[in-house]
Amino acid sequence: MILEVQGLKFAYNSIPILKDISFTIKKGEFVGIVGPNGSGKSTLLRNLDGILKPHSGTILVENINQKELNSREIAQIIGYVPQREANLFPTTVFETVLMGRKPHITWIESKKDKQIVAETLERLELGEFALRDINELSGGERQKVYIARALVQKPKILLLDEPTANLDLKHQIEVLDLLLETKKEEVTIIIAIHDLNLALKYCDKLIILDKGHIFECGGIEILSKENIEAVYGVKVSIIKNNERFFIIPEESLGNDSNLKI
Amino acid sequence: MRKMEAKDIQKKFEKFNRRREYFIILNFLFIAIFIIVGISLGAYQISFFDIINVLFGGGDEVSRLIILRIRLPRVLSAFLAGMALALAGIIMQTILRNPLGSPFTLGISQAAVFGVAFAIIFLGAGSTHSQASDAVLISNPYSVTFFGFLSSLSCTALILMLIKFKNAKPETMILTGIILGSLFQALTASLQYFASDVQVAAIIFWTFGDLSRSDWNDFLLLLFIIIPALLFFIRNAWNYNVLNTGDETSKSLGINPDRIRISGLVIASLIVSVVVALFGIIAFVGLVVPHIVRRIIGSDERYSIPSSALFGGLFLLIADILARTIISPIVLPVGILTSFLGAPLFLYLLLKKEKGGNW
Repeated sequence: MILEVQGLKFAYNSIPILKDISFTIKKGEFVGIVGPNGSGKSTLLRNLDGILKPHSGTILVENINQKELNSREIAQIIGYVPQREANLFPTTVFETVLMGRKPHITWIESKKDKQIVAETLERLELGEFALRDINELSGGERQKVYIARALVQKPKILLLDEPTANLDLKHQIEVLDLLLETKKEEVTIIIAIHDLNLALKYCDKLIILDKGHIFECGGIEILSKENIEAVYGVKVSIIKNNERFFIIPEESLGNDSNLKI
Repeated sequence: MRKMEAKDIQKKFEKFNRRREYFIILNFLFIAIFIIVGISLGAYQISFFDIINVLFGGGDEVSRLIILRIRLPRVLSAFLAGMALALAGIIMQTILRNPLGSPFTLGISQAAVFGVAFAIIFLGAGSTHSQASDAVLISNPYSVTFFGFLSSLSCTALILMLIKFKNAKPETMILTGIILGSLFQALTASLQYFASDVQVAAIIFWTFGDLSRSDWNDFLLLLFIIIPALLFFIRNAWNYNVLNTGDETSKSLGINPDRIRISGLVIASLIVSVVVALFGIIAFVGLVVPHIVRRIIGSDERYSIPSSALFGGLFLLIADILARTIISPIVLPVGILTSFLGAPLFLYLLLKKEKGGNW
């Protein structure tokens, strides 16, 4: 097991967000965390990376308790790609990606660090942007830069917070294909994702979160009509085409109060 | 899409960095030139050859006295003071993620003034004897600096708490800085209320920001505090770079943002306090210099921190030469001059930002 979570609890200002989360992830899996807004997906990812400190429960990273690792040691194992970030001062793409080498740099970056960055930029076809200010790039390009930064970190686990949100169709596919390719290098991938059809296409394993609980955890078959209706409150139909399943939203089941026209 | 090869990408980046190295070399060149100019200009003109002569141990008595006792310590102190203020400015802007941050706009200079005035009036750390520009004699620069530091730390602590607990926006932070600045000015004013006429006049004169008091002792004090501070900041340049991406990413890259912020701000407050204790308030250097440097070489702190230090030194060196010569034989306090230069630049930056430009 590369990641083992036992009884994880977390609260913001005494409002519980994660309530007793337990699951395990094997090396090289592509895991999707799905669930409605506010179900705790981002909070869970931040707890896994130690950006937020769990209130109780244990997280074992490669069988080591995460509490016993300092943040630099965690950064050498786990890479994290935020949904968005705001650079105040203009920073070039090359420098942004070079920051991913930070957990491995002690005093000054070596030739090898710069070489790794250059190779990653080449691989992700970001070379022509190398000296552009990251704030000037489009959303899709910027997301790729953040992923590049996490990749040069050479992590064993890669966490991504909704990497396809706000991206156009082509960039969504490009970003997820890139992750699939990364997975081949034995990197374990965990993404929070809203688009259920993309989750079905790319993930081996799914965790459905609902109001801070794990509703269900398993293969992609758990995204069933009944589960989606129960968690999202939306009536859907699921169709099969070329051995793949597609979820088509039909109508909101609504609460008692709203959506009665 | 045109695909670039890794080799070329790396080369492009290294070429980009070489430009930054040239900027640093250029700075050294101009610093050397203006140190010579600064020594030569003044009420008593000294020729270039006399300066070289004196620096190598020769020269006539008068030139020796003027250069070694007055001009050289003044010029070098101006350089170090400018370095300290620009350094404090860039560090504050970076770690507070606030382009308007500087010792002056955050109220830290004013707080240091209060601490220093307190030490002079109540603790007898200095004496005041006339209303001339050398009115305040600081008999113990170390205790004066210490009290300035203590007082500026209280201001720094308030600003840190504001970030930690209120997640303050840059604008809020600056407003708070202005409020804290006026609070400390009021505190200084109430000290003056209890002081004698001569002391009041002297303290007001002293807050103008004047380098004419500088001697070799001041220079050594500056040197022993600023050089270690500079090395500390350069050592942390990577951390500051990462901090620019925000706390979340910083933590994911193995950095503790709170620790970096506190250590950086405390040391920045220390170097501001030394400058304030020795020379009074010299405003806007800390604000304007980092902006100019960023515009020229970008925001990679590994380059912009040493460049700001050098350029800040150069800036104050030139400003002091202007202050000494602009309406010669009257010597203006350099603090007045930097305010005249800095205020319009500050306004320009604000207006440019309003239009949606980059910092």
